[in-house]
This record gives sequence, C-alpha cells and structure tokens, in this order.
Amino acid sequence: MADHVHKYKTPMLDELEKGPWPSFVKEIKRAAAKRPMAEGLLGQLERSYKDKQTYWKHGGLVGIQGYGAGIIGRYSALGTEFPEVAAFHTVRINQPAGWFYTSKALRTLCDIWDKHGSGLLNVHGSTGDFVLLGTTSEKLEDCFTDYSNAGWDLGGSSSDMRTPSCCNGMARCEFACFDTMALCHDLTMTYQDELHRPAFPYKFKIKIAGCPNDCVASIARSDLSIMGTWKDEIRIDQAECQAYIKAGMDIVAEITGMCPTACMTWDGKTMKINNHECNRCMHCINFMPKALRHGKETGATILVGGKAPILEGAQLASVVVPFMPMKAPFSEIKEFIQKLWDVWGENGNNRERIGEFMLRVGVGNFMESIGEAPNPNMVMHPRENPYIFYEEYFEEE
Amino acid sequence: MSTLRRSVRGHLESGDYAPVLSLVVADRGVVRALVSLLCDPDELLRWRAVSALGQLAGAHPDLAQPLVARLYWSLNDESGGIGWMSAPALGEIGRFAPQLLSKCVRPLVRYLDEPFLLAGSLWAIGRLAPAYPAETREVVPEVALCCASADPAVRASAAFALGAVGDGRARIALTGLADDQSPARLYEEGQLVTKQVREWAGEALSRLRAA
Amino acid sequence: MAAAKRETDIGPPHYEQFLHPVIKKNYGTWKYHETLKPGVMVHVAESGDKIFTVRAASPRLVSTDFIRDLASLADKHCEGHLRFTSRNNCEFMTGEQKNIDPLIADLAKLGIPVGGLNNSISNIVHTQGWVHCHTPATDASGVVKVLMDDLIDYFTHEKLPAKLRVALACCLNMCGAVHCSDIAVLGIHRRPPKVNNARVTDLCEIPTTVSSCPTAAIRPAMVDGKQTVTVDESRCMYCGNCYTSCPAMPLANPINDGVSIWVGGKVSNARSMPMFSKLAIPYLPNNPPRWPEVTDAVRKLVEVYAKHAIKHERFGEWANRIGWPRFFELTGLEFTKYHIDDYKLAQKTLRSTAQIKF
Repeated sequence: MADHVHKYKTPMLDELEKGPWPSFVKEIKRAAAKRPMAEGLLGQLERSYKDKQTYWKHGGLVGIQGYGAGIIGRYSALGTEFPEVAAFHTVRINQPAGWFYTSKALRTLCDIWDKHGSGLLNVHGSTGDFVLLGTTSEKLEDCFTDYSNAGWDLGGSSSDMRTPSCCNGMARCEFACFDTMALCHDLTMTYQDELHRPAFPYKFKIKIAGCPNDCVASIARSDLSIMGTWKDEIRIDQAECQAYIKAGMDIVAEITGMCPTACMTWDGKTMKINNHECNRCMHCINFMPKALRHGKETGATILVGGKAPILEGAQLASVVVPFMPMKAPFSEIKEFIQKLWDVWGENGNNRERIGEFMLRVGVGNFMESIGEAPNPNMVMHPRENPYIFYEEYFEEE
Repeated sequence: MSTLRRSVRGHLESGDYAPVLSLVVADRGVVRALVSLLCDPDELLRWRAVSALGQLAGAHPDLAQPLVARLYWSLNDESGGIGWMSAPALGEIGRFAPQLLSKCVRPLVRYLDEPFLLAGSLWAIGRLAPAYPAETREVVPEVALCCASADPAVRASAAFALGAVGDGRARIALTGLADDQSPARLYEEGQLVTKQVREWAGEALSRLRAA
Repeated sequence: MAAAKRETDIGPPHYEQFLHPVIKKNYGTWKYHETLKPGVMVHVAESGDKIFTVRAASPRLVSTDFIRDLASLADKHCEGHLRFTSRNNCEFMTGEQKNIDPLIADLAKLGIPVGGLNNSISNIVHTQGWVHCHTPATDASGVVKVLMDDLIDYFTHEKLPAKLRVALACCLNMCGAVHCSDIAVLGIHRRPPKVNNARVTDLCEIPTTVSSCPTAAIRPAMVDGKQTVTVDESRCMYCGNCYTSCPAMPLANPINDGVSIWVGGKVSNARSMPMFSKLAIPYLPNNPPRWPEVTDAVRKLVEVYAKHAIKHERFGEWANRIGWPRFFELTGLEFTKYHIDDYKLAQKTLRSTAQIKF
C-alpha cells in the first residue's frame, strides 16, 4: 500500500497504525486503495478524531423490497465535504451458525462486496451478523440479489426477531449439552418471517449457549437465553483426576475448595460429587475436562429478559423454565417462543423489551399468561416486601 | 409461515377484509400478522395489508391504537428497520379512526425526506386529507415540490395527494405534469393501477377547488 | 424502485457445509480439550481424532483483503476451514499438528498475534463508534486498538488469575455485553439535549419521545405556539434515548463527552452467579488518537487485579471477596458521589451492616 497516495491526510488515524494489535486503520487504508468509499471514510473519521464527535446523521431509512429489516441506513452530515460517504449504509448478512466458514465461502462474500460496496466489513456485528459496512442506496437491490443468488440472506434489525446466534456447541466443544448449532439454524429458518418483517413492539434477541459457561453472553444480551444443562450426575474419571494431581494441580485449593455449593470431596484418592447439591456452575469441569464431564440427561435452562440499560435499566435474563428437553425438532422451545410472542407481541408497549414488559405486568402475572407454573428457581428468594396484590377476596353477605 | 399468517394472507389475496376483521376479535395475533404482511414480497398484498389495517382501525380502534406509536417509530428507527408501508398504513388508520393519529399527524405529513419512503408518505397524505383537511393543506407547497421528482411513482403519488387535499395552490404543479407520459403504478381501491403520470395529474386537477 | 424477481427468505447457508471434515466426523462426540500453548488448543474426540485450533486476533473492522489473507492461510494450513469467535477473534482449525507452527509464523508475517485463550484478555467486544454510529460519545475501534496495544501481553500470554473480558460501548445503548464485563469502557454524555423547539413539532412523535426518558425528565410543552417538549435538566442523565426518538434534540458535545470505566461483571455461571459491572471511574476525557488516560486507567486495573486475585478468581469475584472499600484502596481510585446509585432499586445496593474491614 506504499504506492497509493490517500486523498485525505489522516495524521491522527496514522498513529493507530502503530502497535502490535492489528490495526483497523490499516484495514480501511487497504480498502481505500481500491475503493473511494473507504477513502471518504478515512477523511470523515479523521475529522471526527479532530473534532471529537461523530458526523453521521440521524435517520436514513433504506431497504430491500420484500424485507423490512437487514439494512441500516446511514448518511453523512458532511456529505459535501466527503462525497464518497454521503450515503454509507450497512448490510447485515445472516452468518452461518457458529461462524464456521470455508475459504471459498469467504471469498464469495468478499467478491460480491467488492463489487457493490466499500470493501469494509465487521467480522462480526454484536448480534452475530456478517456486517457489510458502506454502500449506496442505488446498489442495495443488486447487492442483495447477488448475495441471494450465492445462497446468503439478510439478518435482522429493528423491531423484529434479530439474527439468532449460538456457541460452537457440539461442533467442537465437549461441554455442549445439546446441539446449539442445529437449534440456531432451525429457529432461524422457522422464523424467517419474524426475522425479516418487524412486527414486534421492539427487538427480540435469541442466543443459544451449550452450557452454563455461556460463551455467547446470552444471559446478558438476549431476550431469550437457551442455556445447556444436565439433570443427572457429573461423570468422573478417577484416573484422570490423579493425572491432574501429578501435573501439579492443587485439587482442593483450585477445584473442590472453590465449589460454590461445597458438594465435592477429595480425600487424596477419590473425587466424590454430591450431585444432588451440584448447581452446574461448570467450574470443576472447566479446569478438569479430562476427568469430569457433564451428565447425560441433557437439556437446557430457559431464561428470559436480558437487555442493555435503555430504557428501565440493564437486566440479566431470569429463569422461566429450569429444564426443557432440547432435541430436534425442538417442539418444546418453539411452543414456548410462540407463547412469549403472543403475550408480549400483543401487549407490549412501543419500544418495550420483553424483560421490561415482564416487570411492568408483574413477573407472576407474566408467568401465568404464558402458562408457566411459579417455580422457586425463578427467584433468588421469595419477596421481602408485603405489598401483595391478592386477587380474590370475599364480601360479607 | 404460521397458520394464522397464512390464513390472513389468503384473505388478502382474495381481497376479503371482513373475515380478517372477525378473526381479529378472537385472535389479536391477526394484528401482528397484518403488520408483518406490510413487508410481504408481494407488492399488492402489502397494499392490501394497508387497507386491512385501515378497516381494522375503523372497526376496532382499540386494537389499532397501540400500532400508531409502533408504526411511527418504524419511520424513525435508526436500528435498521424500514417502515416501507408504515406511512401508508398510518394514513389509512388516520382516515378511518382520525382520533388515533392526533399526536403524530403533524410530523407524519412532513415526513418527506426519505427517498425510499416518499411515494408512500405522499399517498398517506392523500388518504388523510378527508380526516385532517387543515393539517394536509398546510403542506401543499412541499407536496407540490414532489411533482418535480425524478421518480414517476413519486410524481404520481404527489398528484394523487394534491387532488385529495383539493387545494387550488396545487394547480400550477399539476398542470406542469400535463405532458408527463411516464407510467406510474398506484394502489387504488384494492388494486395496483398503472396510468401515465399526466392521467393521475389530470384526475387530481379535476378535484381541486379554487385557491 | 422496481423490485427484481429474486428469492427472499432463503435464510443462511446450512453450517454443515462449512465444517472441517474432522469436526463433521466427530460432531457431538468430543471428549476433552487441552491447551498446548497460548492461543493453541486441541480437542480430542471419543474416536481418538484430534482437531487443533489456533486463535488469532482480529480488529473486527477489516477489509475484504484481510479476509482473503485469512482464507489463504486456511487453504494452506487448515484444509480450507476457519471460523470466527463470539468475541471477534478468528480461529483456524486443522487436523494436522504439524500445521500449527507454520500457520502461526504466517500469521506473524501478517502482523496477527495468536493468543486469547483461557486466562487471558481475548479481544475487546465493541461496535461502531465514530466509524458508523450517529449516537456515540466516543470512538470504538480507536479505543480498542490502543487498549489492546497496551495490553497485548495479556493476549499473547496466559498470566492472569482468570479470564478477563473487556468490552466497549460508545454510548448507553450498549451494543454488546458491556454491562457484564470484567472491565468495560462506556462512552457517556454529560450535558442535557438541546431542544430545537421549531423542529420538534415537525419531526417528532411526542408521546414516544416523552416515554423514551428513563427518568421522566421530558414533558410535552407549548413554546411560541408550537407543540414541543421540555427537559427537566435536574432529572436528565444524558442517556440520549430521547435523541433516538427525536432528532430535534441532540446531545453529543465534544467538550463534555467522554468515557466511564466499569468493572467486575461476568456472564458465566462458574463459581459465582452472573453479575453486572460496577462503576470504577465516572469520567475520563476523549483524547484521540491514543486516549492515554483510558489506557493508563485500564492497565492499572488489570495490574492490581492480577497482583491480588487468587487463581481462577474473576475480577468481580476478587472485588467481592476483598470488599469494594478495599478495591478502592488498592486501586487508589477516588470514591465519589457518582459511585453511589440513585436510580430505582438503589436501596438494594446500600450496605447495611457493621461488617467493616479496617
């Protein structure tokens, strides 16, 4: 790239080409050497660095015919100064489950993007989509047609079901309690309409984790968190426990002593787990994967309501169903999802996430409306305040 | 596609709103199905979903009321939603249940800055005119400017809106379209109708009152 | 805009076609895994087959050329297969152990470090910032770059007591799990929105604007005969949600915008339950291009944690164990009025006990 002279001088951004971490500035410059849109981005970004503010305008609604989501419109507030980025829309492409690709697939994705856009990408967006960063309104339809013909489709955005995502589950992880990738793909295909045509009060995110380690942060970031678990006993290989000791592990300090329910004992020879007291935190399995494996009666814990602070405050998803079977065709979770959508879809306020809706109507009432019996696993402890909305009372004759 | 959505879609295909209106009483999921159908790949069905929502608002305003904020939000959603048919839907809802639109009619009739949605916004103004004569008359100059758009669909929609509002200030802009032979497709009484822009303009002219 | 005839709703391609043959063969029958060296692990299946994974850094915002570079390496060393992680790194998977070192060497030639497994800093989850967002209070990619430059050793080595998840959100919309990270950088505004009364009436649907405010600071109002809104500045905490609903009330302001630092969150269930991040530093200035105040502050937090936490203890677990008063002592951070919650449920965060460490 030494040969290409960039149109805009970027002394501040140039500073971010230094250092050991891969540089996004270098990447924008690589794209800019071939594509004016990326060149314009450099210029505008340098201005933002100088002025310490963004120069993207509010608004900008653009889309693909037949879809109500998947394209984020963006217009520059400095469109005259940086005409290359006057329009700089983002296209979300639904990623393959687990973010697995072949080199061939990636090249196809890149070739089409180079044809229609800035040459810049996000791998990946926060929700999980393969994000194409920067194209113009006129190019959207052709861009989509090319991707569609190559076997790719748009991801979600706005008040729809967002693109579901999952951990790599059974593809490569021994901790996976169910097939996260099969579920992710199944839900994505089953709910294409809900993904592409926003009809909800607000966004709805589904994230699927194979075990309570939750490597996709589903409990923090999704309205519906499906987290693998097991009901029965942790499988123990005593010989491998000994091997860990020989390799220098202090099993008591690091493992049994850190068990949150103190359900593990190690007497120097034998590892014992009181599975009745095990709360499936994954700590012991994490650090002794050769010796300990999750049980065989597997399924998932279902939690609802995770979200970022806007509007009423951040929420972690909370338990609704402690254990749900999770095998194809995944009928139980689909029935559950339908109930959630019926209740929240019809009664949620504009821009009200299901977690906020649940709190507004009362979690107990919410559970009733979706047909889930109250369960102590839903709460940390019973209520402390005595303001109980008793629902029945008698009148004197 | 769910059974409910399929069934609602089927009624729209036949142009039958009555079954949809009775279905919604038993199953409010019909409302969400209609909102989803606003983005259906089939253009005619999208428009019929608009009509259905208007009918719904007239028959069951309480069911349409929560939609107003949601549809308006989809016109401003910076997180990537595009309310393709939200403005037409709001226009139709406002036509049959004017009280539902009182809080957003002003910004709605001024929603003329989004090129992808402009034709729909103009159509909505036309449909709102009988329910909101004063508010729609206020934006006649801005709508008239749309007669100069490069997009024939926008020119035709602007002509339709100006005719519906009926304000004489539109005469010059509409007369200016007298030679415009570009074909333009508008939704009219349940069908997509293609006429030349000058025909749409001519019809609009005949509906104008003196300025 | 005439609609072309093409298929909609085809969904993503099925993942099966992208799985490495060893992965496909042993799908669902993995037995255990081991780390071979920083950034390199092996998974062993019940069949005895092995798949080796090399985790490589990515800046997330990349060119198509970068992707093609990765694709070429995948062809050369990984039988054409690779994946990306939930925290924006890249993972190369091969069935051949001998491919690992040549792959790492080739990655080094491209300036791509290898690491990020286990008790390391794996990458910083972030979004668009000044590159593409209309509501940011800071940039994202720039801050991430300078932080990872500064903390690179913690990526390439496994020398922390436990994994350390860092995230950045350029505004309170928090696109990403910033609210549950070991260390989080959050862009913040500090000045209320400036309402353009003349434009509100034409641009904004007022009920949604009013209800968009978490603290009910916004009321409808009539000003000069126009329907608009007013902001009760004493109730405004500059979250910017109103601007999302109503473009006529912007609040970004270079003099006041900056970042805050939060610590102690986690999403995993291991040992302790998932927890929210807590405020450590209410304000640091935006000083592009290298944000020295932010890198200094974050590095100090990492170092204090690394020095004092016991093995396997996450940041928040350490702070909870020693007590937050001790956390402020050890880090030397100022405990201010802003550190005390005053939103709903604040009462739950107050400390009502005589259990004090002196």
